[in-house]
Amino acid sequence: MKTSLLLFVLIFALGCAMSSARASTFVGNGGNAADVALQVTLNQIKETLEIVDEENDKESANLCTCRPQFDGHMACETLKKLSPSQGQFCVAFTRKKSKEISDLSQNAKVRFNWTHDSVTVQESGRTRGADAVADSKTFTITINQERYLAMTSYERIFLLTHELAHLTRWENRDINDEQKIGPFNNEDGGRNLLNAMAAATVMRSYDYGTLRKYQSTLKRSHNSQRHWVDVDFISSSASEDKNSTFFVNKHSGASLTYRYQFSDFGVWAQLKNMSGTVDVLTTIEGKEAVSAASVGMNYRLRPFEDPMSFLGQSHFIFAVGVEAIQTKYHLTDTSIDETDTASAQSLVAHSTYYMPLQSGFWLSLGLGYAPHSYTYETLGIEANKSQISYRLGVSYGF
Amino acid sequence: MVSKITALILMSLLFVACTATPPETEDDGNIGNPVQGISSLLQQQGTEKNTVVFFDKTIRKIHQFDLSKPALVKTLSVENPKDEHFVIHHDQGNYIIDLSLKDLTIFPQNGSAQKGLLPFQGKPKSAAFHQALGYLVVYDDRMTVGILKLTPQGLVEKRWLSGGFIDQASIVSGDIMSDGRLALALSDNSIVLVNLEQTLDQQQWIYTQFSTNLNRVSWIAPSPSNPNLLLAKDATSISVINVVSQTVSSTLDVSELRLEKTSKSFDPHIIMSKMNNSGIKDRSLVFIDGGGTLRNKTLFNMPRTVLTSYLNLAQNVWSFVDTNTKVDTIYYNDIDHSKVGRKLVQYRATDMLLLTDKKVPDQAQIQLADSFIFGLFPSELGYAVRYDIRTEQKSELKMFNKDHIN
Repeated sequence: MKTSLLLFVLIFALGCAMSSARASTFVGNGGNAADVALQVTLNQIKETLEIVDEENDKESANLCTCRPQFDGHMACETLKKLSPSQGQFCVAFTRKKSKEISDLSQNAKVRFNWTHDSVTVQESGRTRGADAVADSKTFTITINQERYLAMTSYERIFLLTHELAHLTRWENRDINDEQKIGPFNNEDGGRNLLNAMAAATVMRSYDYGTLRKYQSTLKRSHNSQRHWVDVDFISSSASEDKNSTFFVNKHSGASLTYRYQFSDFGVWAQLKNMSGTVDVLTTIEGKEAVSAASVGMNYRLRPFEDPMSFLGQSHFIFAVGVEAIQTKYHLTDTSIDETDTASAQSLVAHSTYYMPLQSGFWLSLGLGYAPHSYTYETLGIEANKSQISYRLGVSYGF
Repeated sequence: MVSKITALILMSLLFVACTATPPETEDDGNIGNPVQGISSLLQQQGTEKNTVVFFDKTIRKIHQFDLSKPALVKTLSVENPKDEHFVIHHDQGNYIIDLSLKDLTIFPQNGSAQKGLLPFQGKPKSAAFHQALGYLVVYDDRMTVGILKLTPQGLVEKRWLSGGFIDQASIVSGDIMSDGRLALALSDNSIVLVNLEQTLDQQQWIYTQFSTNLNRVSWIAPSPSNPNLLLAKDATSISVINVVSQTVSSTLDVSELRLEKTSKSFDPHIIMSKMNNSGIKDRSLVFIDGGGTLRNKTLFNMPRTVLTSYLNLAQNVWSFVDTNTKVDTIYYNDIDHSKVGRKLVQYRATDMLLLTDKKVPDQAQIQLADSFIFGLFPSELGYAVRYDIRTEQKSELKMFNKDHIN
């Protein structure tokens, strides 16, 4: 048991060390807080541009025009500024690039890096702040995670369509923000063209409903949260001990747990209160109250691949720890009213399966094991049976 | 028609009147004292002892306690634990006698139990025990009389079983006299003095008999301080019988009084009562004094019902426990006949100075000693208390059943 514990501690320490990096890469497993949001945006871009690619001339006529619903929004303002020739070029460019960008959105060659640092770009010898930056040489898009998560769905579509377009070429040249392309013939013509195309994609995502399609996925709780608070209702039982008639072998109660996930490794602390009774003969009642405090570490296992799905967000937490308990036994019958206390410490283990609800809330089912052994000296009652506990809880991850 | 309805109403009223006050039925057939689940706290000489033995109805075992500490001394498993059990404890603690349906077992202080000592078929009802001479007479509810002679260590030397008839008359009441003879009152109003030693040797009743002029004798008790005297109660009187002269030496007409209690603890006595002009009972204590004379002392306005009565002339104390609850009339001592509203009352016997008037705990099975009360409470875990009468100090015995509950 000690060897297993030591191994777990080593793996845990390694996991914690690896998680200390400031940036992370989107690998599609939902391990980052923004991964699901990113995947949703990429799907929305793909599905929107696939339809755009199949549009005929007539259908595409209003591609680069603003919808009233977006009046006042950045995308709309971008399109409103277009001259007629820029508008026509925007339509042609968007239709021509739609298939390529749609494919890029799902292309594994494209790497998305999350950063918590400020994203800057060099333009005309000046440094400018940005929400994301694309590197066409490495096919890498670096995104400021906090800003991305603060955006609305259409703003994310706008941003990523723009950045994905940077990874394409026009007339055998990379598309930069500071270049002239067609009627976009000022110094930042490239940026204006890509903004117009990104805005057109937003309009079409609205037209075709892809903008709203993944709302339930976005609302679903995400397992990548670092802070977790669990409230559990617990029922525990131990096998009956024929040598200890007054042993309380069933308890029920509640626990409050805080868990912090460094990565898939984390630490936790728990407070628990439980009570149980045993009836003996006709009037004897033994009532035991158990107060417990425990700390430990845990590993998060996400066995299902698709982070966009319910199962993909559901996950297991396997935890070990040390628990200290204070117990109070109250033995009564028609004439006797005696109380005794005991305490014990032991290693405990539990596993919990978390199922996502919405808005950060989770439903959890758990199984625990606690081999506490203690004796009420005054009453002469022994409790040395391992307890198996069953948990049903609600959690909040943030 | 009207006359029929009137007759019906009258018959109903008559029925209610009859059932509300059942007719007195005096207990007969008791030899010695009724058997109990708790052993007496008084030795045969009337002094108190600090050990108690009782059959616990929860774990169906016998506990023995040392009340001076207090502490559990031992717990004994019995044969046929589901049956009702009664106990008698040797004054010096040499052995415990366990009586139950069709069975008598003796647990010596050391060594293994002697089982199946008397093959009677009924449930033990009463027993007379003369520890110094080792005679034990058991009477069951099938009118069987079992006689044992025990060694001081509780080994059975002799035994014999008989039916409840001697010659042509049945046994009505009896007890062992201080000289070892068994005095029996028979249904023909005669008195029989049984030589227990010869009876056991010859396996038949060996006795002397004399007749009396008593009228339906129902109860007799030998006087410990006057070995030749018996206190006797019949239908209309209380008498003193001299077994040497074989005569009734003193008689008190009690035909106007109502029997309330007969007691052989420690000096035999009878409590009679009568409603006074205020509708409250006057209580009369009738006993044989040190000179062999029948005495009658009346206390006025005693509305409560006596459950058990104890008279010790040598110590000049009359104690009784009474209750304010309405209970069915029984004439032998049973302190637990009612377990609520009980009070212990003690008088100085010579002048009836009230010495003690204290409440007795409700719900507990009680045994009285001179200076303390032992209360066994209805606790499945086991709870008993020794109350000192004078200091009111309380010593508890807790959870003595706990380790025996499975």
